[in-house]
Amino acid sequence: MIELINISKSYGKKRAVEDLSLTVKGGELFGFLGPNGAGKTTTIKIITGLMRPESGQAKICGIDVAHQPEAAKMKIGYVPDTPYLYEKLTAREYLEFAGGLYGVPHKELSARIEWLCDLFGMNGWADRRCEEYSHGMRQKVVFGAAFVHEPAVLVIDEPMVGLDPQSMKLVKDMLRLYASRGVSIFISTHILSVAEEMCSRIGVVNNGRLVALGTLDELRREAAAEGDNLEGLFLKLTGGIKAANLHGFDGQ
Amino acid sequence: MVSMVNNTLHILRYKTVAIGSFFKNMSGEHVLRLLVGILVGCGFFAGGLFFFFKIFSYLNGLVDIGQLLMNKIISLGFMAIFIMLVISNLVTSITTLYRSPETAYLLSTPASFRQVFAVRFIDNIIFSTWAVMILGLPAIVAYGMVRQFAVWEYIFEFFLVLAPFVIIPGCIGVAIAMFMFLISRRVSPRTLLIWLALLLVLGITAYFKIGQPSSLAFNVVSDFRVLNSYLGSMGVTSFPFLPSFWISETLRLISAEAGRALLAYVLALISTSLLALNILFGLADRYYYQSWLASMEYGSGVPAKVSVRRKIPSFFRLPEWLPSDFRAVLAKDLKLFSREPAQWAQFSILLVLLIIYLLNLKYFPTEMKDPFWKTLIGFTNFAFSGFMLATLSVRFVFPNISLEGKSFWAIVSSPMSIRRVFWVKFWSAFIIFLLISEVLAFVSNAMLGLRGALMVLSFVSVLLMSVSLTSLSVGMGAVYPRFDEKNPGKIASSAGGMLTTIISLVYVGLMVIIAALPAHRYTIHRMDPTIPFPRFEIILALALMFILNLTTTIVPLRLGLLSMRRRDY
Repeated sequence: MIELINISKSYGKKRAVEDLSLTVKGGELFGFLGPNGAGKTTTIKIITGLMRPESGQAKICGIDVAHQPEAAKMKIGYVPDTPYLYEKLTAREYLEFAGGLYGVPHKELSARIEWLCDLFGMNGWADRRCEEYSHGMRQKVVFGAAFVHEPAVLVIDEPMVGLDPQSMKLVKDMLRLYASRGVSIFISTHILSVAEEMCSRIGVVNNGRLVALGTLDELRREAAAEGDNLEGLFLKLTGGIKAANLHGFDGQ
Repeated sequence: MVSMVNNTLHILRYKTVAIGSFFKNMSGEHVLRLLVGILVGCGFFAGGLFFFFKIFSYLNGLVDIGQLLMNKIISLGFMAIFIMLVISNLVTSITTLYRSPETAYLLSTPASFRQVFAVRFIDNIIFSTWAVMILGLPAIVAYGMVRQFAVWEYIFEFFLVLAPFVIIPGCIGVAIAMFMFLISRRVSPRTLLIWLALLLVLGITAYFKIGQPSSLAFNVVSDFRVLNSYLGSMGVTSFPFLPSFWISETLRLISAEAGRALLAYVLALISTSLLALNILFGLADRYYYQSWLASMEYGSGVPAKVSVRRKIPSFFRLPEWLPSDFRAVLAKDLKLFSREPAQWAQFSILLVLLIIYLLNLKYFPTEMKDPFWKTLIGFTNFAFSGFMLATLSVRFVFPNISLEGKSFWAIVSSPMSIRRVFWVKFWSAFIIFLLISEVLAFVSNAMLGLRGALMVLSFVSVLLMSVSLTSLSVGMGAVYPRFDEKNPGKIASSAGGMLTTIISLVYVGLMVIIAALPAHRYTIHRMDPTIPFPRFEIILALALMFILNLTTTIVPLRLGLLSMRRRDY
């Protein structure tokens, strides 16, 4: 379970996250939706202990990330928005490294790495160095590393970026499977269709503030009440559409 | 031509805009760090100036041989700088002219290959040169002060002599890199670097064999009568066709009112640097883009090796009593080091230089009875060992945290605490350093004929130095990390790296000073037992060493840990 209690964080004078509170229960697939620069990645970094909030608390399975970071991080599997890897390691070595950090016993780790390599179709290139990989291949390695220690909470920043259609389908199926096993899954995305397709509950964030929270049905009902669809509601909540001034860009 | 210059200036202008914006947007903490850095830098400059001024003043006072010794030291110093600049330019060019997103972007714009090459070559020279030159500056200024240079003579030396001097190794280093990538489709850069390192080692060995610079000390201290024959051999040993010889000659001649000879050396430097630039740009016109393409392809054609599946993850081969996370990070660090040719090639070169130094110690007179010379040689060796350890630690330990780069998220978001990461970095570096430094201390002392208390003192001091220098580099590397930089050489020569170098050198200097006095008194006591045992001096020295080492071990580690904990990733 993930609990965020009155989280705030600023960069200089800019307020990135303001008084954010929400809970993601075990077995829930939660979509954290917002435009670019809304505060999604900052929130995720606070959950994973990569940043400290100025105020408020982030708890993982009841453990405060700020006070017991090691215990809290043991429960998390994290997939960042940009898959930075150690370029000179191979995918297999990277997964071994990740498993070692989480203390996975070596027999178990070997078996899991083989399973993950088969699952993500990495066998053909798992012994090449990461510096040779495409964005999609890197993304698969990072997904593998997040699953290698069987986490209780999965935190994923922009899950579908760079993945091919087969891998997207695989990731969606895996996330549903993990959720059905009681894992809490927190997905941040700026693509409404991804959240709509996968998540049971959605939070919409804009300018660091949570502006909407509810199940898909609740949000759809709210949108319908205003004579709109989900996309219209999302756009309205996140600042509306600015009509582009395309005058003069008519091919001349 | 005008368009070439305009485009190059256009790109350079935006570089200055970026630097200006960096300074404008500095936070209070950054300003404070910069101020501390400037203050320590000034202190180091003053200390270095004082140190070299004392040495050169002393040498200048020695009739006949003083000037000769001074010029020999300067010439050797410039020779070392020249080699360091070639290596540094070669290694830096891999990440400026080749594997750099900025270069890739510039090559995708309408700027010509020559313009891109010109811009990145300027960057390369600056990145590779500034740190080496700043460290050498106190020696040059001190030399000028002793020889009573006028202000115009300093300006003349810096702009007309030093500037062309640094361009020559820059051109050589970049040309080697170009050649290396050009043939990388046939010979891997790894193999080529091994061959280059071997060639360099052979060259240095030959230089020491022919020049025997260490024999100079023997000639001077043991018997003035052999000086004439030594002077006679100087013509052979000074290599008059090397730029390092020309630059040391300009320093010698500038205040000697030998206008014509001076002009000849200055013109030799300027014309050689212009020729080197001309050849390099000619090569770049023909081969830069090709070599850049080859650098992009390098590594991508390696076939996947899927035949052997390992049953046991490789890091578990490390001792099992080590915790799992400790082993994972250590195995990762060892693998990354072994797979980065720039890292192990430089490490090997430094180790070979150490071995050459040790082998050359046999030229030193070991039969001397005078305790002053005996202690002096012992402490010169101690100071040199300290200097080598400081260089090794700043070059290889300081960049360790920065080299985690943008991939550091994997460790920071894992259950491994920053404190444990620090311990991995500290212990892995410390054990290697301790081994190198104790072997260095033992062999050098044995070759110099130093035994007993001096040997024990040397062992203990070297142990303390290994702890302190490792802590300094690990701690300062965390206070001044450069996660955006992949080149360890560039990280080591960043502002933080320079500050660490300065603090490390000051530390080594203090260690030598603290240990020297009681050791000298003790040697005299051994020679003449009527002189009392220097109990007070020894206790005082031990107390001062304890305080100094405690400070240099604890303070940087604490500051580094604090900085890492407060940082957002």
